[in-house]
Amino acid sequence: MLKQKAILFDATLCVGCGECYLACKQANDLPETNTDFLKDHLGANTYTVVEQYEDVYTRKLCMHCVDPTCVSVCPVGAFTKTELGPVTYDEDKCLGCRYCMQACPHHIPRYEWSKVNPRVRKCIMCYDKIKNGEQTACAEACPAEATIFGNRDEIIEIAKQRLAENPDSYYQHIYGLEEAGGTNVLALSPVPFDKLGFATNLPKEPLPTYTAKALEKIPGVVAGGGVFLAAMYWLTKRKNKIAEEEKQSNFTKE
Amino acid sequence: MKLIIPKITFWRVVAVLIVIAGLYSTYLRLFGGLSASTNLSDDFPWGLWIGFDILVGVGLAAGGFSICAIVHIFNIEKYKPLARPAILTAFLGYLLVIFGLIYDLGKPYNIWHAIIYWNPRSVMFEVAWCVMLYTTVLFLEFIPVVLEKYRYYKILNFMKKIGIPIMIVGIILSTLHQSSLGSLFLIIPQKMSQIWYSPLLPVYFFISAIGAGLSMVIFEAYLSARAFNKGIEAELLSRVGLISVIVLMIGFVIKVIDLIVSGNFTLLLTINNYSLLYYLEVLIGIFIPFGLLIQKTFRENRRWLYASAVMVIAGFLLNRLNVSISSISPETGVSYFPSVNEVSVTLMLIVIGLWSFKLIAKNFPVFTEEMHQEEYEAKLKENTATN
Amino acid sequence: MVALFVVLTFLFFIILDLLVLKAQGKEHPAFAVKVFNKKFFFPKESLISTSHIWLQKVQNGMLKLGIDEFILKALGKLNLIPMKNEGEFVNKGEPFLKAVFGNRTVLFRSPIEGKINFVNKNLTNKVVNDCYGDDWAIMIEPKSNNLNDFKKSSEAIKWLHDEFNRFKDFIAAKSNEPELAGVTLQDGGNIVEGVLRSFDDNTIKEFEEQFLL
Repeated sequence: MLKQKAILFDATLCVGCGECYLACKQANDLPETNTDFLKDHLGANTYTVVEQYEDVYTRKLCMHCVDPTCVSVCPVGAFTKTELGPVTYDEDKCLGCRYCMQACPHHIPRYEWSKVNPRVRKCIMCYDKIKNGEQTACAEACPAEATIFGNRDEIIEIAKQRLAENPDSYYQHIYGLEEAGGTNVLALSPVPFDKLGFATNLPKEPLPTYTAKALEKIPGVVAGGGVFLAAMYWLTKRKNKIAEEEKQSNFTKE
Repeated sequence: MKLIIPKITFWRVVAVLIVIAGLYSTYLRLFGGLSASTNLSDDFPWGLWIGFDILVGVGLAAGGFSICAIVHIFNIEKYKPLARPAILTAFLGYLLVIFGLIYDLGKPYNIWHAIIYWNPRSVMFEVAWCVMLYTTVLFLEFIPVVLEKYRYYKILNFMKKIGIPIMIVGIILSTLHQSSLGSLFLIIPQKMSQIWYSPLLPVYFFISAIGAGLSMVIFEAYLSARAFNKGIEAELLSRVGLISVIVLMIGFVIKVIDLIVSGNFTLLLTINNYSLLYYLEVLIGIFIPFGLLIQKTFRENRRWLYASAVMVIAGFLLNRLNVSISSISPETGVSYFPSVNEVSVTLMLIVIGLWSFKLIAKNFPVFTEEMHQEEYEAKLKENTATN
Repeated sequence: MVALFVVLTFLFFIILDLLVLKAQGKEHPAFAVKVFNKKFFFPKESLISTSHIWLQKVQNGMLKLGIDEFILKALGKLNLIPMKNEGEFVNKGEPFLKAVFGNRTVLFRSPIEGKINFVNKNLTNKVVNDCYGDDWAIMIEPKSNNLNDFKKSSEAIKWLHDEFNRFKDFIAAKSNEPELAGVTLQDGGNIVEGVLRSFDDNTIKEFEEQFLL
């Protein structure tokens, strides 16, 4: 069994230099979208951004959920949660229903709206690189060690250690440990996470369990419904027949 | 060839204008993509085409399976005159839903992928399959009308024999995907207003589809009367209206209990856009029609029956669009309003639906009751005797 | 906003349609209920019997028989089924014609004695529309040529008016019966066409006894 990889982003260390933003653009061969990277947003050509909230910098990118919503909702299985952790996308399978975008709890997937043959775009954790044992482009580029890459269990240990060693500089929470079942991109912050635009109203259980609860009722509906309808058909048919016969016999009596 | 110049009427002119606009929008959609034709964005990936063309379209076509169940499974035969028009409406409705989906999908030419790439964890996958299968079932349910016209009594006789299992399959499929359209939204509990979000969304979608679908049967009868200058089955329809509002009221009672148990009813105590939209939805969709049709005098008055059916449908429209659009708060405060193209395509689909219905009803025995098995057999004998 | 926009568009089209109808001076066909009015037409050359069967002399001394407009209005949409075959004899007062309306039937008695020469084959599975013309029922060769019992032209119309009044009273008396709750009988104080189909079998029987004997 391969060990799951993860990214740890530490907002207390981020200096807002934008190296990760540029490295991501370069690694994925994406065109420039904004001259000021701090003003850029996630888009079809931007898989990660650096955002400034007062004096704290934070990053936005696909969180690579442990049980990803996008993987569960896609009708044709165009998304895959790979063994290594990244969530990848197969543009050849995709129909373009955009349920993934509607469902994603982190508002991550972006669409090529202006193309006639549009694709869903998002960070895939440099899957081709990490498959070969390399780091992600953003982790590689980070000069401040604010973004680091490694095995998920080790990354979690590092995060816990940082919280314990410098309790005053951190808001005591590891984002991504259990948000909607956990993520493969974890984050630390000096301030509560909602102040940095993270989704903080997520349940602990993975979101796909919500639809699973409805979907698992299907066999019951099919079987129960079939029996019920067949029985109703038989009963009402019989009732009508008896009523008809009674009518007939009354008629002959007269 | 004889050239037939149709008489120019107000609605024909409107319909032609709508179709011209719709075709232009189709051109934009085909060659410019979604951004050239819609106001959809990364913040609002789903808009009018999903909210109206799909959710409302499928929901209102529920009259087909409801009437089918009443007539063929519960064997309440007096509703038979309503069965064929309802099945035709449903069949055309589903074809239009698929047609609408082709506009909305980013890669419509991949629509068949749902057949080969399976993801049983996806509600959308289940909906796709049910819609595919149910459209086939509706075709099978409607085809006897065509066969009757061309006197294929042998096939008809066979169809009649497999009729009941097909109807049962159709009802189950409808139950599944009508409710699953609600399940689509189960996965975004944190994005939706809790006024509409509930684990029972599939149940509400199912119940409201039956209720509104039955009102749609009434509405459709009035449209047919208008188009063909004929009367309506007033007595039957007024009963259908009563069933419709009772079903909707049951759904509402469950919803109220749900809101109280979950504590979310407090959201309705503060007046804001959400709560006002919800009040509007239940008021015109459930309360006023219920108040009217529960009384015999209103139910049996053709104008009030029509007004009530229109209100139920309006309330249903509000409900589906509230769930799919209004209740979802965008992260960045961007709002969505459909573009002219989205509206014109939607209107064009409706015009195509109405035209097809008119054309088919004119040429095939839609407004007659179907024959009984014995009649088929008699005709069959008659035919073989003369041959 | 989107939701409101869609609903308003829907209502806009509905109201526009009603306005278009109004501008054309028409009524929505679904709103129109045919009121059973007192206006009757009766062909000049025909005679009418008290059992609502009309007779008309045709060639070779034969008589053509059919149902009258009153029956058409009282029963609504109906099919006629002759109960005798060509060549058979029918006595006066003997049932010879059946009308099926909804899931009910009434029988008509022959007003005259004679031999049935022709039965209208076109009646099969046809909804009766032109009761004095194409939708005649049978042709009979009468035993006697005495037609003095029958009324014609203005006298016939007057009799139909009397029957209408009598029918209205009959319906009014019957509709007070509690078991008929839930039946649409009237539209703005007038009885509607086909009103009879809303009643139970006993009432239909009474109707037959009071109007068709």
